[in-house]
Amino acid sequence: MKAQPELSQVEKDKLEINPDFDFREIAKRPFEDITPNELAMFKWSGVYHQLQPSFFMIRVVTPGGRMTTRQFNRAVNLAEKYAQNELCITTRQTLQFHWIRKEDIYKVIEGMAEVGITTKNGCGDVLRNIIGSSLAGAGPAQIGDSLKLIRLMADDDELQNQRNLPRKHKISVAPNNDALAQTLINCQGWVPVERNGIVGWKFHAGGGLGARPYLAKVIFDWVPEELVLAVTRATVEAFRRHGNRRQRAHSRLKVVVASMGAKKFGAVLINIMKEKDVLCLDQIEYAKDPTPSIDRMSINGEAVIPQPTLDKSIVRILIPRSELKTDQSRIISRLADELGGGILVFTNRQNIEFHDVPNENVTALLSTLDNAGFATDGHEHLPDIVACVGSTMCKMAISDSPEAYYRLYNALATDESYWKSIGTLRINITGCPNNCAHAWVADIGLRGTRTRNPDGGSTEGYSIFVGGKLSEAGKVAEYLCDIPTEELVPAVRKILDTYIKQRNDDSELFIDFCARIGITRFTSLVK
Amino acid sequence: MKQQLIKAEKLINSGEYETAVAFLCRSGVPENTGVCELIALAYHKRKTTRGDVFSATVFAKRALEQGSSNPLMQQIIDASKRHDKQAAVSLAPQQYQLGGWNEHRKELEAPLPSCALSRLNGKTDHAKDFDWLDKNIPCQKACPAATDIPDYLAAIYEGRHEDAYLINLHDNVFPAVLGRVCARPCEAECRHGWDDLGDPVAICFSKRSSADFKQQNLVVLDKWFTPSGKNIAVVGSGVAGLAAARQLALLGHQVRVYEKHAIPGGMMNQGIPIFRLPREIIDREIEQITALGVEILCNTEIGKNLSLSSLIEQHSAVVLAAGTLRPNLLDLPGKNLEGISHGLDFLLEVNTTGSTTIGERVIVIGGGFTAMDCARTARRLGAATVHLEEDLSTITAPGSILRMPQGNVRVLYRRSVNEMLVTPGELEELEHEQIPMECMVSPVAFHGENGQVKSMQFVRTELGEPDSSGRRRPIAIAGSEFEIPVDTVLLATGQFPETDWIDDTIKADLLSEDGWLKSGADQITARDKIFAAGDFATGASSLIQAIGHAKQCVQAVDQFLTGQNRLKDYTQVKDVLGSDRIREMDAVALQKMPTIPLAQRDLPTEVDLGFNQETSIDEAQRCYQCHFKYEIDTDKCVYCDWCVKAKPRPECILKIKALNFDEEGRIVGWDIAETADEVNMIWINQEDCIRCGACVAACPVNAISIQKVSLVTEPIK
Repeated sequence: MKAQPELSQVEKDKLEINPDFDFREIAKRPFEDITPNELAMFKWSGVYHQLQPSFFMIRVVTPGGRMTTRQFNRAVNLAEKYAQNELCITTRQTLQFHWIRKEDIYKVIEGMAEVGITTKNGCGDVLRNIIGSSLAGAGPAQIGDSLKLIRLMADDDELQNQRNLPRKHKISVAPNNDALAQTLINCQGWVPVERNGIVGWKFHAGGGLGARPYLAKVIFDWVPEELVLAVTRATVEAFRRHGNRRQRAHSRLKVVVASMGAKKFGAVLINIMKEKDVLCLDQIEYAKDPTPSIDRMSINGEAVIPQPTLDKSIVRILIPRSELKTDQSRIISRLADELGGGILVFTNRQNIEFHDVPNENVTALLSTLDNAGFATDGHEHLPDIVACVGSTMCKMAISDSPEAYYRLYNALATDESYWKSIGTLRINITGCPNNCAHAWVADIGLRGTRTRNPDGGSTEGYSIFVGGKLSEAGKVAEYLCDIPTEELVPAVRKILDTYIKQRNDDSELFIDFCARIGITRFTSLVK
Repeated sequence: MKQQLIKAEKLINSGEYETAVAFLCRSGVPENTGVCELIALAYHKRKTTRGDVFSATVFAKRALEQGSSNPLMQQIIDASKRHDKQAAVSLAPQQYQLGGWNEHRKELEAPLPSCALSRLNGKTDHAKDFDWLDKNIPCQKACPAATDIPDYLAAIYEGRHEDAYLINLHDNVFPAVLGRVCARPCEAECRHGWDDLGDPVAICFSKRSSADFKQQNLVVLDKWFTPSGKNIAVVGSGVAGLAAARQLALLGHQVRVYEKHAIPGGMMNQGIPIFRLPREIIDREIEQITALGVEILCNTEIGKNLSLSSLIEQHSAVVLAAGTLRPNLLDLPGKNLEGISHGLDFLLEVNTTGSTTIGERVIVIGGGFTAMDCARTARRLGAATVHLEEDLSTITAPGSILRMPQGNVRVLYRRSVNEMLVTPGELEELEHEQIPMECMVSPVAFHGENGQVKSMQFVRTELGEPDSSGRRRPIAIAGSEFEIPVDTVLLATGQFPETDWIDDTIKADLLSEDGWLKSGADQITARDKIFAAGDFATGASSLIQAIGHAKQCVQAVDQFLTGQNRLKDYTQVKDVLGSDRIREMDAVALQKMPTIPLAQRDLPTEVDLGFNQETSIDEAQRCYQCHFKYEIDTDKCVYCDWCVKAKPRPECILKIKALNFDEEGRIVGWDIAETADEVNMIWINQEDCIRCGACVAACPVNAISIQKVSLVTEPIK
């Protein structure tokens, strides 16, 4: 008989290894007695083996990116004790601990659990942390209650106990049709729509970055709010059925949707819901056009955003390279309690927002933050650079993206008049093709690489991509050039200077400039 | 704590950085200043990646924050900083030429010395490219006839048995014959049979299935050239003579083959038993040669009916392919006793007449193909006194081996099984047919009564240093002599070329005093117009060796006749999108050759039944398809290492500091990079590559190409 494809090792492990490890037992077990297969399955509990073999990373789950100060304080205390005084904010709006010893994993997990934060499904082939707009529940012009849906999904046992999906599954729920919620790069993207005073949801699916990026398509123009959970579950079920478990590089939902097309995928979902006797399916409307039309990001550099609720505001701070040292964290937490609303929100640009700040406290908060060395200026502009941990701690990375961050930040973000003259600009630096730092959809995306030296060895550097966006139908950034790390600063400066010189006027955004001149012309301009 | 720090420092100083860090972490979260200093030191000393540099600074900073006065801590932090180059920069896209599996490569010279081949695509004839073929397609390299084995196995896998047969026919002339009795040097080299990779592919039996499942009509190849007007005589119609004749005919020459026996085929007919090689198989493949216009004159003995000198006069060239018909007889006491004969004579008689007279107790001496054939033939000829169980007697064929007493035929060999020149399956069949074999025993003398051999004396041996054949020399163990009663002794102890038939005048030019050709194994002899092919030149070898030798001989003949090299070898490189293999095929078990039951085993019935169509495909899918070349475009590669993480073998993908080349530009070695900055390229070591495709699946930037690389021989017109 011709050989038949068998399950890959990861797939076998998923069937054979219970992902709910007893980390107290693991703490006692000699490291050499933990199999590599078990080690890989730690991820299902949010535990990732770090590049440095004696240490682990732990990622918590914070649906919608929100934490109370009580929860945040616990994280800070645990980081002080077990994680070398540092927390990192991720691009999926949550926190990571690094440098955790095997013996301390359970202490962090249990410590966070005591304040209602889980690490279950932090990583692995599961439904990951559900994200949305950081402004949800507080920002202006909100149409739907995205936080309610996020909570519904985060608390749904059927979704949260999907421990053997073909690959990771990501959901975004937006409070309005704003690119801020990154709808187009999620497996499922929910956007509220209002018709005659009734809120329903537009359903996008099949987005995802990684080495081969796909932007989501619109599947349904209208899903009544009471059917959103059913569609979410059906999507996960469709993924379970149709995801390619054979080739891990092609296993995500994005490939399923791309190969089926939006219409057929929608039909698959409807059929699954019929099987499950979901009622009122005729109220779901298929997308008239699968091309998304997401509005541009509504915020543009504001440090303070008034909340529609009377007398309250959102105050935003930049967290350099997403790294929160214990003393800084304690200041943030204290200020959130004393001057804010006791709520902190982590953004997908790895920054922090104070929500529910009484308006009378805003000035005091800003000046205290300023005195403590926190920047509140520069959001969605050059200083607001996103970078992953890169080759400092990640096994997959090629380049030291935090270092690239600091090179650019120190050289370009310190010149306020320069970056203000540029206007809106998002630079994202990712250390490897996995694109955790979303370089594919940035104005300027840097992806780690190395280049062969003709006279021996190789040089760390970056491939530069330009013109990516998450609004309208979205756009994947296009390849411009390769540059060694040591030439990164002059290279980015050259790109920006070219833009400044060649743009129609100050109002032409970098992404619009890219679209207007095209990549070929851009390439020749910077040659 | 102090002792722990001392121990950790020792580990660091001995280069065991990771162990040192693990040890330091064991007693608690690293927060003690001394512990942080040492972790910083460990990573600082290793410094193979940016991760090490970073780790060193994390712990150096912590140590300093806690009041460390170790000056190294600040040095570590300072050393971690890299600086910006502020010069004007040129922003150009990375250029690359090889590209990945989904890109087409142009027919250009290879841009880098590290490229596996001298050209990116198309046809080449550079030494580097032939070297690639030699090292990467071990089966084809091992085949003296250079059979394109991966290609025909691919054809079988796709159910194209017809094509598979044609590929074989082109390369080795006698696919159906060789598919049964080839010595299979290819299988010994098959990558699938390398250590820890399982069993080699059943290449030989697959060849047979290509013949079994094609349409059973004659396959006549197209000639490469129009008639040349040259006529050539070939002496001997064994595989060498016939292969030479076939090749000469394809080159447009008129060929006449002279055969002293009544039927053509040489060893195929005279030596190999019918139960291994049915005669209609031979006849059909010979017919495919005569269909090209080759004339075969049987019962025509050169030196008797016709002299070699007249042959030379009448023809443009003469190819001597007379085989090895002079038996090597053991020069031992009692050698002239009745009952002692050479195995070749014995086989010739049985194969020609269907019977011969042998005694009850038969001994075969030797450890090669002939010994196995003699023993298995003798087993089928045993005495009439048989005692069969009732239930067996009805189903057992009259001449079946089961009607013969067990143990009365045995094989004795002076070396061990390891030195035997047989294929593994043959030993299995010997055992299966209940023929005992005793190794490490050497004959000493024949003893007889009334001129008839009655017993043989042997001495036990041990193995000494290798002799000229490369096999370990047997050395007699003193005092270990023993005697075996015997009626018939068959000597399968080798044979030499018979040269008595050569005219004396020519003999002097052609032969050395020891009777061998002066030209040795060369195809060009010491005399103009005379060429030698097969065993006659090389000494007794295998059918496939003789065919390969004959093919080369024809190249020499044609060059002599036309003054030019009209057949040229090339390396053909073609882009492919994939190998059509899945990794699970590697785990498919070797398919067993089905055989007839012992009760039916007699002289004329073929033992091996052949694969059925389905098992032939099952077996063919096991082939790694070594003709596929997986190569990373080092300029497109982003050095992510993902292929390295996915690799199935320790040495198939390497992080290389430098490749080493010989003066022809061939890659002859490499230096492994120790640090990230030292890595000049991530390189597929194709000799260790098992063509699984895991790297292609893992590569995030499609930087790995797949190309099919084949040896092609083409006529130059």
